[in-house]
Formats: sequence, C-alpha cells, structure tokens
Amino acid sequence: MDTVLDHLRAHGTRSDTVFCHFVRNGMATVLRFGDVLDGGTAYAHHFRRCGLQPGDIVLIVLRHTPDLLQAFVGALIAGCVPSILAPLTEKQSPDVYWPGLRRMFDRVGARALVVAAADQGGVIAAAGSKELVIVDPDQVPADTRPFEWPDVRPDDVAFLQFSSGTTGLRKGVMLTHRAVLEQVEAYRAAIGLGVADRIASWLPLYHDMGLVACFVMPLVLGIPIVLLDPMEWARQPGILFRWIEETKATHVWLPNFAFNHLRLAVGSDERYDLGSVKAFINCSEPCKAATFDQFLQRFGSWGVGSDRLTTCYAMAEAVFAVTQSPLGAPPVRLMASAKALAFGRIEPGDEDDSLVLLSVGKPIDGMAVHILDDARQPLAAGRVGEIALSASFLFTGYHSAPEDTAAAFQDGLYLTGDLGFIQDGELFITGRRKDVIIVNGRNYYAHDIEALAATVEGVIPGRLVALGLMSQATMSEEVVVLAECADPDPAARRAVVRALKSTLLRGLNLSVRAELVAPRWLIKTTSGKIARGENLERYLTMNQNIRISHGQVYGT
Amino acid sequence: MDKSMERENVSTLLLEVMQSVFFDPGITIDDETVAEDVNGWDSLSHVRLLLAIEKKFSITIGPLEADRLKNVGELIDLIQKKMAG
Repeated sequence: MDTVLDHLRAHGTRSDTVFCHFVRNGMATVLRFGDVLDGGTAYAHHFRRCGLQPGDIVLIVLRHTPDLLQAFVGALIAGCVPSILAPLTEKQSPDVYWPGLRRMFDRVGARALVVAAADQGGVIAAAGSKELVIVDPDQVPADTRPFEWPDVRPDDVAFLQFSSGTTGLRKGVMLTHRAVLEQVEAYRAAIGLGVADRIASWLPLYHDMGLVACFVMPLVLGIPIVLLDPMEWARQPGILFRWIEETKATHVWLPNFAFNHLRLAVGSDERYDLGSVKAFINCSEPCKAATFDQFLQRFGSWGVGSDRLTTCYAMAEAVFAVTQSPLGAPPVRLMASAKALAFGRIEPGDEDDSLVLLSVGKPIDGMAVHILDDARQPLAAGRVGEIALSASFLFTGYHSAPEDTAAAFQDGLYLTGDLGFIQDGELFITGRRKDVIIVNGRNYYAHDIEALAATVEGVIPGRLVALGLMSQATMSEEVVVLAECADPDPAARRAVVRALKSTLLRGLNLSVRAELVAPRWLIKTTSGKIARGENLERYLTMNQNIRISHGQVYGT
Repeated sequence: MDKSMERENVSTLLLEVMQSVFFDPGITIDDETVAEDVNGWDSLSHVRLLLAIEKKFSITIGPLEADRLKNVGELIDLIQKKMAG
C-alpha cells in the first residue's frame, strides 16, 4: 500500500459498499466504491484515448456533480496528475475567469481540462492552443473494460492543489503519493478516524480541506462521506445538520465563518440531533473562541458539547493538517495581553487588556513546528515568530515555479508566512507575515486585489490599498479596499464604489467593503509603495465605531 | 405586526434589520440601493438578511422571490405585499 492507487485497487473487493451520498437539490445520489471505480475507469480509458500519458496534468473545473469524483479518480488511475479548480460562478465574468486560467494552464503545461459543455464557451475562445484536450463529462462513455493501471511510484506526484488568487499567478502545490499517505495516516491517528466513522461536508473540492480531509482521506481509508453542494449549503445551511442526523456523521470540518453562518442562518423552526458528531473541526481560518461559545449556546441542546469543538491548523503545502487539538477536550485557551502581543510578546492579560487565544493543538505525528525570528533563527517557547515546518510529508515544490519553491524553504524548513508561538507544546496562531487575506476560508493575495481594483475608472492611479480585517458580522476576515478619488460629486463617487465592488466580484468572486478617501489620504513608504500596515492603523483609528477588530490579531 | 404598515415604516424597520445583520449602524438605504451599495452584503449575509426580515415582519420569502428583486425599493414593496396579504 505505497500509493493512493494501491488503496483504490483494494476497494475493488468491496464494490457494493457505499462510499458517498452525493447530495444535489436535496436529493442524494448513492455512490458505491464500485461506482467510483467504474466511473474512474471510464475516465481513465477516455484520457488514454485522448492521448494522455502518466504524469500529464488534468485540470477539473466542474460544478457539484459525481463526475468531480470520478474524473479525479480516473486521472489517478491513468497515472495522470489531477487538480480540481473552482468553477465559474454566476457572479464572475467568463472574460476574466477563462483567460486567467488559460495563462495558468500554459505555465504548468496542463494537457487536459475536464469541463461541462455548457461551461466551455469561454475556455475555447480563450484557448488559442490545440494542445489542451477538452473533456466533456457527457462525452465520456461508460467503459468498464479492465484498464491497465500504470506503474506509479510513491514519489510520483499524486495531485496538485492550486492556491487561489489571480489565476495567472496561482501556485500549484505538488504532493506525492508518499506524502499524501503519510499525512492520511498521521492525521487519521490524531482525530481517531476509523472505519465506523462518517464524514459530512459541504466544502468545495477545490479547497484543500474539502479535497483532502473530506474526499481523499476517506477515499484512501474507505470511510463513507456525505458531500453537499457548497452553493446549496450557503443558502440553506441547515441541510448539513439534516445529513449529519441522517447518516450519523462523526467528523465535520468547517472554517470559522461557517460556524457563524450555521448559528445565524439555520432556521428557528429547524431542529436536528447532532449527538453523533465526535468532532466539529475548525480550520482554514483563524479559530475564534467566541465563535465556539456562540455555536455552543445555540446548538448545545442539539447534542454538541464543548469537547466536540476542536481546532486544526492546516495548509496545502503540508498536504493538509499541521496540528490538531485533541478530540474529547476543548482546545486550550490563553488570556493574553493584546498590547504585549502587538510587540510579539506573550504576557498575561488583565481586565482592561486581554484577548482570548485559542490553541490549534499540537503537531500531528511526523510534523515538527519551529518558530523563527526575523533573522530566521529559532525562538524559544512563548515567543512570537514565523511558523516553519519540517515533515516527511511536505510538498515537493510549486509546479513550474522553481523560484517560488526556493523562496518557500530555508534549510529544509517550509516557511509558512504565518506568525505564532508555542506554549506547553500547543501552537497558537497570532497573525500573518505574508499579505494574504483569508475570506470565508479562501486565500486572496492583497496585491491581486489591488491590481484588479486599480483598473476601475475614477480611482487615482496607484492610490489604493486592500486590507484584511476581522469582521464581527461574518467571523471571518473582510477585505476593505481604500481608494483615493478626486471627484467630489456624490453620484460619481457612488458609481466608483459600485464599480470597485462589481469588478472584484466578477474578477475574483470576492465581496469587499469599498471606501473612497481623499487624495493623498493613503500613506506611502519612502520607496513609494503603499504602506499596508500604516494605512490599516489609520483606517482603524478613524473607524473606531465600526465593529471590526484588527486583522492581524486573531484572538479577539 | 400591523398588516397595513406604511411604506415608510417598513423602510425604517428594514434599515434596522440591515444595520443589525451587517453590524453597521452607519448604513443608509433608499429605493435605489442595491447590494453593491452596502458593505458586507454578500451571498452569505443575504441569506441571513432574508431570515432576519422574515422574523421581523412575520412573513416568508421564497428564494425565487428574493432572486427577482432588483433593489431595496422592490424589497420594501414585497414586504408590504406579504404583510398585507
């Protein structure tokens, strides 16, 4: 059992066992292991017929259909390297979406793109190259003839996970079969995942938490899953609870904002038994103690105990989990001085100056977490610095981006760009060094947002900034775009604000808070760059009344 | 809840709901206001806004009805119609 393929092959002996309840429009399609393997085999045959060879990259851009799973499995069976990408949403512009993806396809040398016929118009217009094979799921014939599985080795790349952001600059995280299986084994042990467990998820499969925790890991281990449509869940979050109750699900991964959305948007006329859940795992965003408290207050009588609310720190570069708080106990909380933390020190808080930090647990087996100072030297326990990782199951690099890969490592340690400290073996995340803003679990680079916002007419060229702030309304980060505008006319200013918002929604599928400021309001560095930190401080000082807390401090 | 509530009163109560849902007491609205004019009004908060409206006005709004709305003016009209009827 050295590769993901070995595990898939082993599932052939239990083809009648249910693997997935795939839920769309309130109805579940039951996929047995046999269905997944048969569907995957049909895709594998089709990929070969199209000329694809082992090692070729297959990009999958599908909406919530079982073909998502089967195309991914089919690419694995064919020895290809699949990657699932976010599909175009109704709010996004195909004119921005497809050319951006196309640039990425060209950079990584993708050989095939799996996309439904209804969504292909833009991609063909944007392609201009004959080398990319377009695969329409409806044109993949059922084909259960035996497929000659290629000789895949543990150190071959199993699949890619792409970072979000401006599509042309997205980095493809390369994960080997060995790394994936080592992560699965270490993480399975950390969360006590066994064959009697079940996973329920609404998470999209283009997100590492959805892909690895809620699809690849259970696929390898043979654990049943329920997959809901992310769009349906957003509109009716209670369906997650309904399926938890229905299937007696035991493990549920949610970004922090999703706990908040469930609390606020599950109807008062709904009620479910959530007693089967051993762990709600808060991950992919800063984990908030207040979010847990509010969730418990709302759903405590539905079978949710404080010992079921756990935390995890994860990233695609580690396949998934880095740390996990133990099941059966609430994560450790620490009352710290906010003022001291602002200077990178951990000191006890008092009544006037305290915030609650929530531990994300201890490293999973095989993972070592290091805290480094500005000179990238190790710091002692209790000191805040950059989090760096070493593990045998880290990624092997960014595809076709050797410079990015080299910059990500130092002396064999992967530099996460996140800030934190270790106390009594527990990791606490306190902020971020890189200019990444995590909105509802998705990562956005500030400079990508700024580049797109700068195309809006009415904004003074070069005079805008994108900032990330923690929103009390969403319990996630919110992007604030501050742009200088010289036009005094209120109607014109309103039009500029609308244009900023719609441009970012159409281009990045991102809703932002957009505000116009007077010319020369923004602070620039001596080298002429917009000073993000100083402008954030200035904005916060001027907006004490809006209930947003400092984006760099996660404990509040 | 008064079934024949004046449009202006509906507008005032709606504003209160929106200020609460979007955690922003500085929000202002008029009939022409659209989601892009209100900071924090995205697809997730839209779901919460509709729930809060249903609770505040004791009405039910179907997803299709909500999707058809072009601006806040139409939302106020819909609330008034539902309350009357």
